[in-house]
Amino acid sequence: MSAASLLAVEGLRKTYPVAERALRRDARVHAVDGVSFTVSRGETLALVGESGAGKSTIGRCIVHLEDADAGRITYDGQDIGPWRGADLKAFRRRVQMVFQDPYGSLNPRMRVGTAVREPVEVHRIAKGREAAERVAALFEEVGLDPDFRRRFPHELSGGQRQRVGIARALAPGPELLVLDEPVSALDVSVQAQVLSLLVDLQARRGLAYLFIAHDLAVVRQVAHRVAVLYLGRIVEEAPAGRLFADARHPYTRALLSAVPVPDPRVHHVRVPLLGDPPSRHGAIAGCPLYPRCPDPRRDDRCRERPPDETVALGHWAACHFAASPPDSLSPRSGEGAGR
Amino acid sequence: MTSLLDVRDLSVTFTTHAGPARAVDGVSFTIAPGETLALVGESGCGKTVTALALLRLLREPPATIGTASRVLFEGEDLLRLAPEPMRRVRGAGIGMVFQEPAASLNPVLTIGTHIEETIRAHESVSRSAARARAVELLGTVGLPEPASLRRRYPHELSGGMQQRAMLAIALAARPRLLIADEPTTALDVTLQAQILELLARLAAEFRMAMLLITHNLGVAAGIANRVAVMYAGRIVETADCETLFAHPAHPYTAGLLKAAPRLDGPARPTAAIPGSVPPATAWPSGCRFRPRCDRAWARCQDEPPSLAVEPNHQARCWLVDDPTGGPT
Repeated sequence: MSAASLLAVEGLRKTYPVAERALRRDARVHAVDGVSFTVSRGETLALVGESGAGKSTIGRCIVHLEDADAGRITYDGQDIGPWRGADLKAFRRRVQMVFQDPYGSLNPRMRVGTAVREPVEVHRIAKGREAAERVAALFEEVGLDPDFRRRFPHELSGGQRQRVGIARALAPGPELLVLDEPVSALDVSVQAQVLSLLVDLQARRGLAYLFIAHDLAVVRQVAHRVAVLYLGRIVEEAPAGRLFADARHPYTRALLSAVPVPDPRVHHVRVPLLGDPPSRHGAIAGCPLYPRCPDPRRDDRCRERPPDETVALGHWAACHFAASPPDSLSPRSGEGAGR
Repeated sequence: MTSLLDVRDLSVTFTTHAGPARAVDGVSFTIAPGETLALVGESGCGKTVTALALLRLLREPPATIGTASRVLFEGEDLLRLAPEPMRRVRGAGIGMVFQEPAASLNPVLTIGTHIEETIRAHESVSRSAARARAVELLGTVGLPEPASLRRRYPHELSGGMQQRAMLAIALAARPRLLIADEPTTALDVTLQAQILELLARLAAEFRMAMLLITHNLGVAAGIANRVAVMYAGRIVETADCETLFAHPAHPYTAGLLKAAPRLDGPARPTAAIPGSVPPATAWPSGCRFRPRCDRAWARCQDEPPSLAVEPNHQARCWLVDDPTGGPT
């Protein structure tokens, strides 16, 4: 698999110094704590987790907005770590990023047509009339009237702005898009439109997506594979169908059970996590979920880092008990009679 | 009437650079004692402005509340109440919780001070009695070690703990109605589930009615007795919770339900509603959902009134009147 993968991340680590003078010996936040995964051409890998899980940091390391402390990121077989200057510029033609808040990532004083034209010219893809035509075609491709090119970001709705963000990312003709919470700032009706657009674009252009999100219900609609992050580590990875049907890590199960169901007849049992997420200072020695784990079988072994237990082809979970989750952790066990 | 809250024909207009914006336009609903009503809608539909208007928390101007509007709380019209009695209603009659707990807490006061001040503003009790009640309340909302937590400052608490503390403050004066505006939107999904369970438990324990404002249909489904769906300044559909989710009568409600991603739904995005919500300065004429509705027909050029689908189920849609209607 990894031979054919477009992007491969191995043992990625990133820590940040803590601003305040803490009394802790290790005054660093371990945002990403040894993360490995691959993304193949044309596929969507979703990185899912709650705030502080490290998912955005991973995305930023991949597009070189942050330098990792350790680990290797290879793109199309080449280590991107040492890339600077021309190498990096060539890389950025192939990998683009779409951010959560298109309002924050578009220059308020620049017409959105100019914002999309910029990468076309920077990467010397086209200029003059040809560039203008290319921008118009990009607008049409993302479902915007080319007349919108003359508008400013504040004259567009949230959904239209995100379409501009996507058009801008598509402008250099990338192979991989890093989508960091691309729909979480949008209303439900518009969210569905943008997700449909992303699915269509992927089919048409053969794009690979690294889809970073906190909402499992959204992820289920776009992902081929899912990696669940907790406190800087991937705790479970599986093909999407398997993850939603047969998750094995207690954290994944808790996360799935917490997603509200828009149907009052469904009463599913929530898998509770104990307490709040811990502080992120210092490295975690054992299982990151240990203090909050709801699994009744949790024992002293969990104080050590659990191995990545293989459950099925392409499905593993970092839990000693991954082979057989107990019924008490089944989010579906209490579903009402109405269904 | 047995209603605790009876909102009639509430309208709010803002003066803006782009002209008057009628953010809330003739909204009426009631809440019975102990009942939870969810007001559901997308951003810009007027749900938060509705809550702020009935608490009289809007600055006037730029806001203007319609002269025909009434907000009867326990029979008294809050829109015509003097400032001092209104202050007593806020807190003791109606408690409030907002989306961003950190923005609602005073950073230089301890959690305990927030609660004790609220208690003493509404009841004449001694400092030590207020302190004891504060500790009890912090325990009630599920915060660990309430006695020491009382002395902590807001920034020392996590987001989930802050929202629990906000709830303790809102409950301090034993309100009959709690208004919760997107109380879990800023929280992670596992915390959201905990806070929703807590809200439901507290509503039952304190026999408190609740107006829950949310954009999330799943949140509404889990906690509400009744649901009102807002679109473009109007309530377009009201029904008891089960009916609304099982048999939505308004195409907007049906479209929202179809578009909402869910773990037991289709594994592909369903773009059920085209376009986006119009701005409040330019509500469409006739039915306001008409430009986005796939079932719009000639009759929709006239705005439908609220029509009864069944007793206790209303929708503003001509299809209620003529289910065979639609585009030809």
